[in-house]
Amino acid sequence: MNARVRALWLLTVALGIGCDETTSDTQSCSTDDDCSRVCVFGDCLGATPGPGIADYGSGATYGSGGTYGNGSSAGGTGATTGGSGANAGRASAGRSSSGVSVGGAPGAACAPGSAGELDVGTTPVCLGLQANALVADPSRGKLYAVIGKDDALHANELLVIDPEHASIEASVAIGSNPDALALSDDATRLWVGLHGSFTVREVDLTVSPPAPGAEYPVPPLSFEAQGVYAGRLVVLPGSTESIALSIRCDGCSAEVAVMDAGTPRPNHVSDLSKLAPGPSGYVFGYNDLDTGYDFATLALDASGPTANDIEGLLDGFGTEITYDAGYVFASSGQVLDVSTPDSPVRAGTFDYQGNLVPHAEQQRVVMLSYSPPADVFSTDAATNTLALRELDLSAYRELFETALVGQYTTVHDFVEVKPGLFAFVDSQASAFVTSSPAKGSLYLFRAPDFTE
Amino acid sequence: MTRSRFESLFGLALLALAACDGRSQASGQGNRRPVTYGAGGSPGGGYGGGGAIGGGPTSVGGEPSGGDATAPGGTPGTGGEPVEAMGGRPILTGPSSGVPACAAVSQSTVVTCLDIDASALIADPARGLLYAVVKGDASEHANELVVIDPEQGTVEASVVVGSDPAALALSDDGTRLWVSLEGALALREVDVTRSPPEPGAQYPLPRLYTEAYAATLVVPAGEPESVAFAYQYEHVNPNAADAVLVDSGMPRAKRLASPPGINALALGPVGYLFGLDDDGNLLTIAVDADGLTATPHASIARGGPSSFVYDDGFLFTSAGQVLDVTAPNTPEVAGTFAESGLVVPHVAASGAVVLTNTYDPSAYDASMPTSTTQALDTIVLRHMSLTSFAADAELALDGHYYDVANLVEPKPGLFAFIDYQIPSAPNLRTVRAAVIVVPAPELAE
Repeated sequence: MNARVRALWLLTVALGIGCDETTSDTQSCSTDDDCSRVCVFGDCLGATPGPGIADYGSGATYGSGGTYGNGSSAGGTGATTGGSGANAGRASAGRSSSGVSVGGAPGAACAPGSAGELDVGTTPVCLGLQANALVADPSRGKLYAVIGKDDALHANELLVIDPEHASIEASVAIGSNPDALALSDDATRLWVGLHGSFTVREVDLTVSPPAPGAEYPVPPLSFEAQGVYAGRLVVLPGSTESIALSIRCDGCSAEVAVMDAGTPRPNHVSDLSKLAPGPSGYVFGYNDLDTGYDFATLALDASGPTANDIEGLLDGFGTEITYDAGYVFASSGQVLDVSTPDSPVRAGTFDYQGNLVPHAEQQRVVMLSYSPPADVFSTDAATNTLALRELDLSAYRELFETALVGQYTTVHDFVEVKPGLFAFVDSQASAFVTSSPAKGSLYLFRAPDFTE
Repeated sequence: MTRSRFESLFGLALLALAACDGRSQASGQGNRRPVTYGAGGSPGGGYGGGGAIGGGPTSVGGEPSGGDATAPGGTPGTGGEPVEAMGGRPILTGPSSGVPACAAVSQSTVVTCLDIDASALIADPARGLLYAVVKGDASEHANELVVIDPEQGTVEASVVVGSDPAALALSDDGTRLWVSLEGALALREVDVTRSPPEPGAQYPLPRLYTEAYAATLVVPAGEPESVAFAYQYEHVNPNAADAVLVDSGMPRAKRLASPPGINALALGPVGYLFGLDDDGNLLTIAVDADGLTATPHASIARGGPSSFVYDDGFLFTSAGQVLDVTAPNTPEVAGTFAESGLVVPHVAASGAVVLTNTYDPSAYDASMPTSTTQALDTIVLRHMSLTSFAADAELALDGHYYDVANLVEPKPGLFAFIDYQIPSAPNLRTVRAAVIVVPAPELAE
């Protein structure tokens, strides 16, 4: 057992769950507090898997001999989620939407095996962590997650997670109730919003474990000084010490400010709740708190941000925005061409909604979207299925789609940490209702290769 | 009736209808298939072919052979050879799987049902072609312009044209096709003198205060680079909004500001357009270098027409009225047809073809789930006289249809329209359509 595996083993032991525990428990990790059983490669650390409990590892490589959608299987049966073929011999984890076990006899999936890393598959692995926020550090191939104040094991900690092995590499105390994260583009600094102390804190990522540094108060709103926190954070392009943040208080509108090593620039911009870093000198903002649905290009100078406010480009409550290579992507499906940042135009609209990871230079986008199985979209029960889609950024149409195994509630912080290796957080409460991402179960999966 | 031509089309129709049978009900629900635009002509290639994820045995075209006689790749009547679309991906031509919209078409009907999920359809009579556009959520031809040979019932070419194309207009010189892109809030021009057509510049619409796209557009006579269009709001009711004239995307200063919003636009004689607004007015719209200037006429357009079409001094409304606009600023009612519906005018021959769709309660199947959209309309095409305003020839189509739009006549005596399946819960986004081609030479003149 290597050190990284041991870390999770310790976690598992601490929860009193052992490999010898055989049970027909059908406890699901799609609800908030029951994602506690983890089976790590080659070491059976979890209980007998029940529906929805994701397990790592087995001798067989998930999907060996058949990447999804490669056409090698005839007639739409082989590479079918919940079907045979690609899933055979692997992963008792989860349940398919049809209620059919994905494969493998109960318990068998935890047998020691040779696989050394997270296998390809459409069953997200539930890590047994309740994260408030998540960012990916592709340069190191790590995930950073922050855990809220009421967690039994990792309260108020920043965790460094090795996604290949689902192991916690490091955990450091970070401050009171962290719930926002932003990474500098050189990956040397992580900024953390501390909701409990109404501050932001910087973390040095060049040392191991990461070293939390200075903590700065969130600047007051123009109309409210008490109880303000960072709803969203971005590190300004090319910077490590300058951040933009949307300042929130419970039940109030949002303002955007810029801080340099904790010193706020004088000007604020009002009514923008979501932020995305843009090209140098710009940040993009969106207001999902009223039906104006303003999108704004924020030009940054020494006095702070100046907004060029534009209506009629995006819409939706709870819409998130992401920037990549001249485009702003909205989780509501719209794509803006911001190659001229002061004159954004709609480039197109995907006919799907969901959190997404853009690969603009390759003219494609990976989207994780809800597929409600019934005619009612639910945000308070784990009844939604997830579809992983690859979308064509030039033709604005779908290239590939596959369902993920399991049922989920509300997804946020969908990230790609290594090519094809994704993570997300599934919360029980909607991010919109709580005005900041709610804590939720952290999931990992290595997507089927749908680029072929 | 031209017998031989009719027979060949009848045979074609039967082949095409094999693609339009009821197999496809599964396609509207559950997991969609992987989007494999490739491999036209090879077994297992194309939609629902090899490697269908989430499809399973019930998925359309999930058989190892990639389907049946309607599989892609040169089967007679299903669309010829694959063509290269933009970006080099081979795109399937012709139908490869049924859609519900085609399912209702009786196999004894002498029509061709093409499984093209069209959002708009226009005729190019000079070339004898149809142009259809398909929105981005379609399982085939998503976001493509599809060129159809209506006589052969084949797809001649298809090219990616942009995000959610929603409306079309052709310049009177036949060189430019203008496409409204609902997803991009833009207009795109397409050079249709090339084969396949070449999409050109994309022009963002002048922005309104909230999302709005060009819902109806016309190219003024003699100005192939200019487009007049009426906006439709995405999220505001009433959704009809301003009308604007743009030249290569640049707006002329004078626009028709809403309210009242402009619901429909039609061509007029040189220097004029016509419009219908939310207040029920017929608008005479003068076009000059400054832009658009409207003169409203109340109490002329009766019956709440949703669309109208101009031909040689007359406007024909979908409510059955014929308006004499030979003096554009003083329109007069010339008469009212005994039947109302979509119109293809033949003013030079003193007639017009009218499509009427009529609800047939006997077609309703009460055993179907209430959420199921059923094809309940019967369709009759009639040739109407402009002297008697009564029918002098008619062709009743067998079978039932959902809801029709965009009646056009790409060749004399050959008609085409879109049959839309009305969306219903729980799949409100699953609007499916088919392009129906009807040979009716007896209605040509």
